[in-house]
Parts: sequence; C-alpha cells; structure tokens
Amino acid sequence: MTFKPLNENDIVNTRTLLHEAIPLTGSIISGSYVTNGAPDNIKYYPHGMFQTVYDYPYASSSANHVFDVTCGFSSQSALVAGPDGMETKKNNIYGQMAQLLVGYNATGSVQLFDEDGNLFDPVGDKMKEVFVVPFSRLLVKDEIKKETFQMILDVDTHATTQPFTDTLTISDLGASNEYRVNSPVGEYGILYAEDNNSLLDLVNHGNDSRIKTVDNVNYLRCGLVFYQAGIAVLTGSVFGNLLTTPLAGAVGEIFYNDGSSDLGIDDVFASSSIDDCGSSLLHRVQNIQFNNTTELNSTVYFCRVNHNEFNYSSNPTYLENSRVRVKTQSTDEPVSYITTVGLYNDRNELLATAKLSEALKKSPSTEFTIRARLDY
Amino acid sequence: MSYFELKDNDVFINTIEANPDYFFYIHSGSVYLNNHQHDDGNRDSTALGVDPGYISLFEYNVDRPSSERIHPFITKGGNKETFKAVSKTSWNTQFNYDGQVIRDLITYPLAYLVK
Repeated sequence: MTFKPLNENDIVNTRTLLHEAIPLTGSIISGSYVTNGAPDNIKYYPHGMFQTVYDYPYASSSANHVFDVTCGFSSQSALVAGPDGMETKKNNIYGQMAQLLVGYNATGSVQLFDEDGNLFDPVGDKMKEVFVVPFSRLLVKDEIKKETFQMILDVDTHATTQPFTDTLTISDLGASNEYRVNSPVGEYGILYAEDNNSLLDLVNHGNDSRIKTVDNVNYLRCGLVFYQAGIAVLTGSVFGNLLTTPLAGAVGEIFYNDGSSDLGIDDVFASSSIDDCGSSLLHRVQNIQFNNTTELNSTVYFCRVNHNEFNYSSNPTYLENSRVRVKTQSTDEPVSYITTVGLYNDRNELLATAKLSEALKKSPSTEFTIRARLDY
Repeated sequence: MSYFELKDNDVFINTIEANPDYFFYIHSGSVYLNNHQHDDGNRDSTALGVDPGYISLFEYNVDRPSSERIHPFITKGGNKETFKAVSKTSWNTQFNYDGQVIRDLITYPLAYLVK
C-alpha cells in the first residue's frame, strides 16, 4: 500500500444547501386510509392532548410520521369551556407551546402568540386560540425554507355539499426578507391568508395593520410559522372573524359536526375535545406544501496522483514468482489499477475509505486527481 | 462562558462490531429481503414506490403517486457562492428549474435490487 500526505492545498471545506419539496395533499391527511369509519393513519392517544398524522396506516413499519395536530387557548381568552371542553389541558397546551415558541416577558410570564411578532404592541393582535401543527423532523430536516410554506384550507360551511369550494390559501408571504428573530427557537415568519374569492372580512379589518397588499391582492395575517422548529401556529379566527361569513355555528355557518351536533369554531375550541378539534382542522386541509433545507458540510480531499506515483501495487497478487505480473519485458511500462482511496490520520489510522465505481488504470503516462468528498 | 478541557480520562472510545443478518428468499424471479412481504398501496401501485424485490432507501415516499412525491433540488446560491454574471434565469434554465423546483436532479425513491 502506498501513502501520500495531503497538504493544506489538497483539502477544502464547503457548505451546500440542499432542499426537498414536501407536498402533503389532503388525501394523505384524511380519507385515504379508513377502516370502519376510523382513519388508520391518524394515531389518537389516551391522554387526548394531540394526535399524530402518518403517511400510511401507522401499524405498518413503512409509515412515516408527518405531523401532529393540537389546539389550545390562553387563560386570557374570552372562551369559557364547556363540561367536556378540556379547558385545563387546552390552557396547558397553549402555555407550553407559547413558552417554547414565544418565551417569557420581563416579569416571568409566558407571552402570548402575536400576529405580527411585535411583542410590545397592544394586546389587540394577540392570538389566544390557536391550532398548532408541529411537523416531523423527518420532513423539516434542518429547517423549513422561508417563503415556501403554503397551506390551503377549506372555509366552506358544512351546509354546502361540495367540500373545498371556498378555500383560503395561507402562506408566509415575503418571509425571505421579513422574518422575525425574537423567538427562543429561532426565526419565524408571519402567515397571511390570501383574499381569493373575497372570503376575508377586509371591511372590519380595513383600518388595522392586519392587511398586507401585494400586487393589488389583499392578505390578512392569520398565524406564524417557526422555521427551525418546524411548527405552524394558526389562529382559530381563520375560521372565525377573519371571514366575511364566520363559521360561528348558526345554520349555514357550521364549522364541524362532531357526530351529534353542528358546531362553530368557538364551540369547537370551547366544548370539543382536543382530538375533535384536531380532526376538524384535518378535514379542512386541502393541501400543505413547503420546502425543507439541509445544510450539508463537506470536506473535499483532492488526492493527486502524479505520473510517477502509484504505478505499482503492493497487493500480493501483483507479483507472480517474484516478478511483476503485468511486466513481461523489462521495457514494459508498469501498470496498476486504483480501486480504493483510504484517508488516514497523522497516526496512520484508517478513518475512511472511498471506493471507485470502476478501477482506474494507472501508468506512468497518466495522471489523476481523485476528489474524495466527505459529507457530515 | 467557562471552558473545561477534556483529559485522557474524560474521553472514552468505544468500538462496536455489528453483524447485521440479511435473509434473501428468491422465488419465481422475485427476491424477498428479510421475509418482507410486498405491500400494495392505496394511492400508488406499490406502498414503497418500488417494484417487488427492490429496497426503497429511506422509505421516504410512502404510497404517494409520482405527482405527489417528495423530491430534492438545489437553488442558485445553494453552495453559498454564485457567479454574479450568471443570472438566476440562465441558471434556472441550465438546471431545468421549473419556477418552483428543479426536477429530475435526483428522483426518490432511491431503489436497490439484489440480482
């Protein structure tokens, strides 16, 4: 075996951003895997504090965790939970997610989710009732790529026969340049609902800063997306007073039917179980789409094989009867075949090997630079 | 911030020798690895997106039609350096960028077959 030391000009470190497009269609989320009326790809837990969505029936070893769904409201919310409304658990979930994602104020109190990320402005733009969707690390990888998050929600009333007739497109519009950094878990962007089909109540929100206009299209703030944490937080108002016709529970304004009664969005937050609350959201997801990012750190070792190097092999089979097998005449050129590059540390301990896809024929008339790339 | 220097007694190097066991069952032209039965999908013809006998590396796109599959791509500047003289449009055209993502750079699932 032949060694050749690498010098500093032979080693270079690089970083590359790799992305993946992650489409999560509504058919993955609900409707495709149903047995006896129950979804096989959604796992419910005895504690009932969240549910987990898989991309395949979760009893299969092939299933991947896609995201969780839960909901909660602040103890400062005006909502009053009914007898089965799990108020304490919903308050706890809100508090847990808020302390994780928003943090504490100077007095040690957990801060509320803020629509525009400005935590010091008046209480009026706080989101006190929220759906929380933490995505699987398998899908998010290092982080969600900014300005690629999109969620399409059905805001039809259940009184209509065709689902997904009225949909809201929610995205982190302009987040490449307007993301926030005042979260304990990293950067986050603001989610905006696009006013397609004039579904949004721009009249009652016309005088506040919730509206953003880009290319003559109006958008309303409706949530936050935390890029490194991979968590989307959606205000319950996206089915409520942000709409021209809020799904308030009256006839023609039904948000969810839990099997026994028609409910509005506030009823669901106040009176339904967290599982029902999550299910109500899942049934209204037409599509979720984002791109993820992986930062790939690489070291490239340029292994330079000069014309007068590595022309002989120390492999025992290179010799036959103490003669070089590939030389029959003394004037023949020596020849070897390079199959493997080994990277050794300064104590001559083998750290990594790189195999070539096919052997390289090496003779004094050829030179190579073999580029061994180590990703980590 | 305080620093603490690791001494020889603080560093423990462990070596594990693993001997994974693989069982190939070959019958009638099909290969089954570790007795894993081929799974027909609901939304795609196969749950793992690969033909019987193939291994789907990462098992990433489970039961997804080809139009809904997760796929990787890179962007201009993704390696933290760009040529200013090469426009985004030119770069995108060169790398078959369709406005959203570059397709066909690599296609998942990455599959493997024993023959």
